[in-house]
Amino acid sequence: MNTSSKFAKICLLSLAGLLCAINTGSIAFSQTAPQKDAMSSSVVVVAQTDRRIYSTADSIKISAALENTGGKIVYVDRRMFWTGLSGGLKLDIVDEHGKHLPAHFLSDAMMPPPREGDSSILVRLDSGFFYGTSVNLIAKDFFPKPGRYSIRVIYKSWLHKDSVPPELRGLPALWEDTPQIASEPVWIEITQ
Amino acid sequence: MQLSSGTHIPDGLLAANALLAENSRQGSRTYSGTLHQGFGVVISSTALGIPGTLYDGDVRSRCTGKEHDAESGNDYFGARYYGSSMGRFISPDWAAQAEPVPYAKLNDPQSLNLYAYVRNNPLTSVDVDGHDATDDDAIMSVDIMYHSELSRSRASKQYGESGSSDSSEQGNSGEEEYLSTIESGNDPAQQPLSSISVLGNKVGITYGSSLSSSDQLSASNAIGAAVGLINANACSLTDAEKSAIGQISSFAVVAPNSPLGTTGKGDMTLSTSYIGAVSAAWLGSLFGHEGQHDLNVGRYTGANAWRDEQSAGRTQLGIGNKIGFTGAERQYLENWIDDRNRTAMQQHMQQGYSY
Repeated sequence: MNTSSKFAKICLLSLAGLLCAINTGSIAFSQTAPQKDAMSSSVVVVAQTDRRIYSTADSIKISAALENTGGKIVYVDRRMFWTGLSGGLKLDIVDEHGKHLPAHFLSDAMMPPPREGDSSILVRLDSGFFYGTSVNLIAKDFFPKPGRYSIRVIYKSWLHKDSVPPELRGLPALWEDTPQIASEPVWIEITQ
Repeated sequence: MQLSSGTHIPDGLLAANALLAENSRQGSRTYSGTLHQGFGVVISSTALGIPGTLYDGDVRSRCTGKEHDAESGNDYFGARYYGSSMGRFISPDWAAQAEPVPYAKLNDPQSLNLYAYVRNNPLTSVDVDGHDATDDDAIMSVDIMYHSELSRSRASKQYGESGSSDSSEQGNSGEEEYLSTIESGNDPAQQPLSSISVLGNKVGITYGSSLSSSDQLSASNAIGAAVGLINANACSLTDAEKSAIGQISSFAVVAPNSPLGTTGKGDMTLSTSYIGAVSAAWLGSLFGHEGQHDLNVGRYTGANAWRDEQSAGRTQLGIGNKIGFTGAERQYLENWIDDRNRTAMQQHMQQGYSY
């Protein structure tokens, strides 16, 4: 084997190694990043109201649940309050012109870390299961005038792995690095 | 007794506070001039409208809001000197008209102790002039939370110690009345508070109509514990922290299925389930968080909205660190208000205001 063929062989092997390394890296990346996306995409927020049409004096019950629509088990924070995006649920109300309603209340009571050693902080959601709560709104307090409004419910976890018992940290849960999850809008109509 | 996270309350306060709980529900009056906090200390705060000169170190006590005699270590309350090292006045109370026991209230054994400071209830009571100033409507007890821990023996001991020998009969009478009330199932302390004094400011407490009496009482106790931590640690709070806390004038306890937060007008709304899920220190620190939002109204807008949340979180963190945050709570909040979390804070604020 002459020098040039040796050089060509070395180059070929190096190129193969380089491609292999790149490929391995991309595989590793695809196994981590999509996992996070998969976690949030396998859980959806399902929102619904008890009716479609309300008068301003009515109470509106909005139910919201995290539903596992994926094929694998997911864990979620047991605590589910209407505390805003600092760990919890939030309402997003828009009028029929696409305009957010004027602010008059800040959902702002951040969820604290779980109590030390709270091994029941996570709720297991098997595929097809859901976990949720509801909120009651007095229509006139939230919808200033008759019309059509869309309501979305947004969920954001602020649960840190290091704030839960060590035995829970490896579970596939909605941790704080999971993006917020918004429901499909639910349309209601407010009458006089 | 240890409330939580290292805040110690002298045992003697337990019985006194439980006794005074009934008075606390008869209404309240706040004083703008002098605010006492903690056992043996009185605070005043520029943040609450007291002139800043009160903080001028050597002459005036930073904590009592009263003239401080550096030589003797006593605080001048007008009528008498208060010995902070002893936690009591150094001379008996007196009245302009001769009375055997000035300002005595026969249903309150603590009032018979002429040396006692605010009837041994400094967490929530006020002494304006050195006389027994804790008339019925001035006392706002936060201490029904202690009640369950109040044993008969402790109560007996406390009441037995109160007052002079001349007044011991009245003291025993008060004890019997109190214990009798408990045993009859009509314990006056087992009622939710309708208001509470937070750094000397009256904060009204309302309860959702759908809440059971036990839920109301549990929430009331938790609020009392949280406010107790604030008041007991008032001297270590900064003026800015006191100012934020001082913004809160109403506290709505609501059902679990309610939005939680603030309108930015001196109110805060929390559910029974949230209140039950957080520590006293966390709950107390939220007074500062929501109050800071009130102070921030109009200050951070648009792309800077996240700074409002960061500011509120920083205030909360500062308060929490002083009133008993655990390491986990501290770390949790630090993570939330970190600059690197600005996107989440921005979303939180923008969408938080969206209805």
